[in-house]
Amino acid sequence: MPNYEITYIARQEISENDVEKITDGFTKLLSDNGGKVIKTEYWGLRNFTYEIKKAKNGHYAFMGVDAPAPAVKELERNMKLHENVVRFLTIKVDKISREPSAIIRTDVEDDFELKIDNN
Amino acid sequence: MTDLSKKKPLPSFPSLSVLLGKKPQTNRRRQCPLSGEGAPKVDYKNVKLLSKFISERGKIIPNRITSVSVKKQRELASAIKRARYLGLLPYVAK
Repeated sequence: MPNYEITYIARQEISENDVEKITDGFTKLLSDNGGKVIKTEYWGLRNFTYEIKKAKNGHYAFMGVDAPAPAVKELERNMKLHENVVRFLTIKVDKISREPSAIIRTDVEDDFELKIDNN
Repeated sequence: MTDLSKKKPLPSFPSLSVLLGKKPQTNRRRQCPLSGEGAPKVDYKNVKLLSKFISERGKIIPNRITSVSVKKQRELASAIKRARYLGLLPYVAK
């Protein structure tokens, strides 16, 4: 089965526990359709760089899943209808990495410097 | 009568690039900062890295300035666009 990375943004009004409940609901939906969730992450309440649906910030949640395409399609349909989900993005990947995503890691890769030549 | 054996050698000139005031070209093309071992992985989730490749205005910096390889620049562009969609990076910034 292919691997997918699903990121969704929940409305800022709800609490962190509610976000977890939503993730649990999505996990159940996937397993009912023959898929499994490899990892879940909560990125926290983040500010948007531009307004999305009149909101300035939202809860970011991430799921790495191994599921058949119809299951993911069904999940996307549900996210579209979900009143607390503002936006979502599904991306097919070769492998779900075991490590936490770069966005919630604060320690490493900070030393990367970009040199610009002026030729 | 001219004696061919006593002909003076031609005066030597400095090379053309020196005459034109160009710096001798050493280390012509710097390596791509995203290729090779130990390079960070281009990923839409790595906002900190991606933000180094966009201008103050939020535009993607062309690879002729950042010397990112063509292959990596393509990856970078799609990663930036994904991050923009998720509200992690701006489409326009002032």
